[in-house]
Amino acid sequence: MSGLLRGRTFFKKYPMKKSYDIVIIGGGAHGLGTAYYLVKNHGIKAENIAVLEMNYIGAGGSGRNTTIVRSNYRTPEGIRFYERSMELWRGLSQDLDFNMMMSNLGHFTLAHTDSSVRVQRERAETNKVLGVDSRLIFRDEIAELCPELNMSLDVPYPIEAALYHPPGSVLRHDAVVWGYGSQFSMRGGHIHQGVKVTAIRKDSAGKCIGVDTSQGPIDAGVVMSAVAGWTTQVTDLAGVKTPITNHPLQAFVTEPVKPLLHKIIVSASLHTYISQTDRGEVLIGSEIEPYTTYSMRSTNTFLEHSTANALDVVPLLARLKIQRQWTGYCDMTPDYSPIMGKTEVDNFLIDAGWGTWGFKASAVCGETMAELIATNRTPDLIEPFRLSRFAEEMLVPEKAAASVSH
Amino acid sequence: MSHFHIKTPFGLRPVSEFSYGGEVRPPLAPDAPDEEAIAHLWLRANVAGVQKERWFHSSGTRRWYTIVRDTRTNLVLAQPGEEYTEGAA
Repeated sequence: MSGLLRGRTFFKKYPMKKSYDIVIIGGGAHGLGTAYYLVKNHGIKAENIAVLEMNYIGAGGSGRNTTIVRSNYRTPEGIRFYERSMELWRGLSQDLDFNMMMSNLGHFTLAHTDSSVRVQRERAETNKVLGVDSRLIFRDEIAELCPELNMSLDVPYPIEAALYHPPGSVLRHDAVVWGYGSQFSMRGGHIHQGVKVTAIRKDSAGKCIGVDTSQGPIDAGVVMSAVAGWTTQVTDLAGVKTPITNHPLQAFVTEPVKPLLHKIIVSASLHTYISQTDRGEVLIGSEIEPYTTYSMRSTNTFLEHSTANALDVVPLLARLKIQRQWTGYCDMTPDYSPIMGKTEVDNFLIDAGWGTWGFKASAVCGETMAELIATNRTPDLIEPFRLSRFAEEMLVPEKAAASVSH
Repeated sequence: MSHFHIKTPFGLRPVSEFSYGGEVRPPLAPDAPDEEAIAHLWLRANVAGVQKERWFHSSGTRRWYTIVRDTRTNLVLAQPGEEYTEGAA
């Protein structure tokens, strides 16, 4: 019995070395995932990899997100990428020996207008061609699969149809961070918390050769930035410009209750998403703020709007009390797809533009960025997300599938 | 949406009446080379600090306004027509 309450140390502490082969800025799910796959898939010695985190492990987006994973995106590039992530999620608890508590609830994207029905149909058909279980369903089937939904026609936006994605799941976001981190750390990997990168050093040819940190300089063969909402602060240090703009996203959870909502519900038209977490809290969120800001202030306006919309969709939530509300940074890109891979600065890689779709991709990001670092070749899966796509006018438009932040 | 106000000929109006037009960038010369045009089209400074920016009063006067705002605090440092001087706020 006492074993149950035993404290567990996830991360070992090592003194910081002067030089590493690979330095990863950002100790969230993406950074730690990359470090883990570098060791596991490519046999790189863990002690030659450092993960630097300015706050604590799992702060920021990795520690506060909607925990939804799914692959019903719109573009073939996006679908293939997120579907690989789903494959990894399914095996991750075994792989990391850490229970991710993955609950396969099924994911609904509600359509309240004809144009929305058209978009969902397009997504369903593209999904099917690529082997993703996803289909358009209508009112009878929606009411049967999810009796909690308000199917009334006497509301401003009645539910017309839904994109149903049975593999859509929620999992425990902290477990992802701790799982990757502890496996990497157990193999001898260096995780340094509370270390802020203050400069990115380049040689005379403009090649990245290391970083300066709040605890001294580090030489590095490769530097990768995986800092999501703080991307501009890091890319500015390297002199790399991106199309990213920073928008905050708010969400809140209710008091925990017994399981009552058995599906993940998203409504693009009403800008709301609702799911019940493994702790029993009902998690509700909405759209990003429409303008650039670095303020993390939570607002009452948001609560008012999103509760009203959520109650339109699931009226039985009306008597639940709100427990917590928070705000996080989202590094938005113009086409709602990430920016991954090489930059014009040699040996400086970015994994950015994660806006509101970062968590569900953390497994595949770790895998593909590790492959890129180890082989110095951009994997096919992330080739479409290169930074140069904007200059080449080869965007990957995912707004229809990613703009309501879930 | 956090709350601040933008000055119009009809007084201070809440930001919820406006649409964001993004950071102010120098106009692109008609004969600018491709790289410059691409950078102008896509790349952004995304400043964490003082930013000059455009807003369209979509639910009101239907006009464009330029303000200076601190993106970390959402304090408006200069309303339309006002000059921004550093440290004035």
